[in-house]
Amino acid sequence: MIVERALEILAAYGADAARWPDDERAGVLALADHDPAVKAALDEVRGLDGLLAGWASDVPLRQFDAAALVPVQTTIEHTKSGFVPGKMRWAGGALVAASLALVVVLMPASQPAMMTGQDAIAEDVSIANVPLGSASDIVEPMDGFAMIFTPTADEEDAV
Amino acid sequence: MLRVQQGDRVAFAVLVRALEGPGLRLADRTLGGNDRATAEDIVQVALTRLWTMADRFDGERGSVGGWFRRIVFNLCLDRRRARRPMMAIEAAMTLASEDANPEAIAIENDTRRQLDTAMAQLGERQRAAIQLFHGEGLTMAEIAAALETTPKAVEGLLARARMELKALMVAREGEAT
Repeated sequence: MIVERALEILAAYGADAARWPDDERAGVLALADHDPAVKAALDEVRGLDGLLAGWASDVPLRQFDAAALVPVQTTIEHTKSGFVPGKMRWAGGALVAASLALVVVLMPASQPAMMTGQDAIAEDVSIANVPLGSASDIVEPMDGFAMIFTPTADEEDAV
Repeated sequence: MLRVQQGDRVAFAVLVRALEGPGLRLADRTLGGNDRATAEDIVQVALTRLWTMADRFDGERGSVGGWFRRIVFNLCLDRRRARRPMMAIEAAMTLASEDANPEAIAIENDTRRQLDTAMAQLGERQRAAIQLFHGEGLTMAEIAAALETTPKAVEGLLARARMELKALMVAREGEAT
């Protein structure tokens, strides 16, 4: 053990020998007995140790309600089906994908019935034909879709 | 933690009780001790993640406590990056006290206030390392796991923090006299 290393240990760990590295403790203690610099450093860090311990611990605590921390959605799923948190993360994504597929399948069949006098416009919705600032014809169906299929936070995470 | 991973809410409540104190101390001290609401919010988010992300915990990579401390510390860093400084430290020192006997309390707390002021000038990692070492009694390896660094780096972090603190407190004492 050299003096520099002993001073490093005191600077980092403080004066409590029990906190020093096991394999270096004896060396530092031996130096503290004989070397004035190490002895002085030991006395000096002792004062700061007390202040730091007080600073680190002096925080008012409070109790958190574990039940309130569990998201409502997982609480219900736990109760009904023994849901394991996280394990079913992909289920939300699968649900969204299935819904999307259903909409894609059903849309062509239902579209003709929904078309009225705007058939010509609806059939020609290329970007070039949509005036700037007037995107309602193509945006509205998407908004409707978003309203129905907005994923929850868990689903979004899964996607 | 295995029981929490299986959806055991009783086990989760036990875990919350065990971790809320250390979590709150770490968040409060890392944030500098002057933003209690954010510290509580961080602990709440971290505890919720213990439940919602339970499946991501890997016991072979460390303890639940270590994983939780890492979540808390990273949330602290995120919040510190996002928020603006609310008040200069010098301004805080001149606030009028509402205590019944402000002069006596001011004298009594002078050293502590110097320490708080000096602490506010350290980095988050230094404050977190001091809190975990002196407040929670963790080893260098455990602190390293929480701060995602090496034990040797934590040793340096603590040594520099103590050295800076000492210098700041001496400088403030010099200003006061």
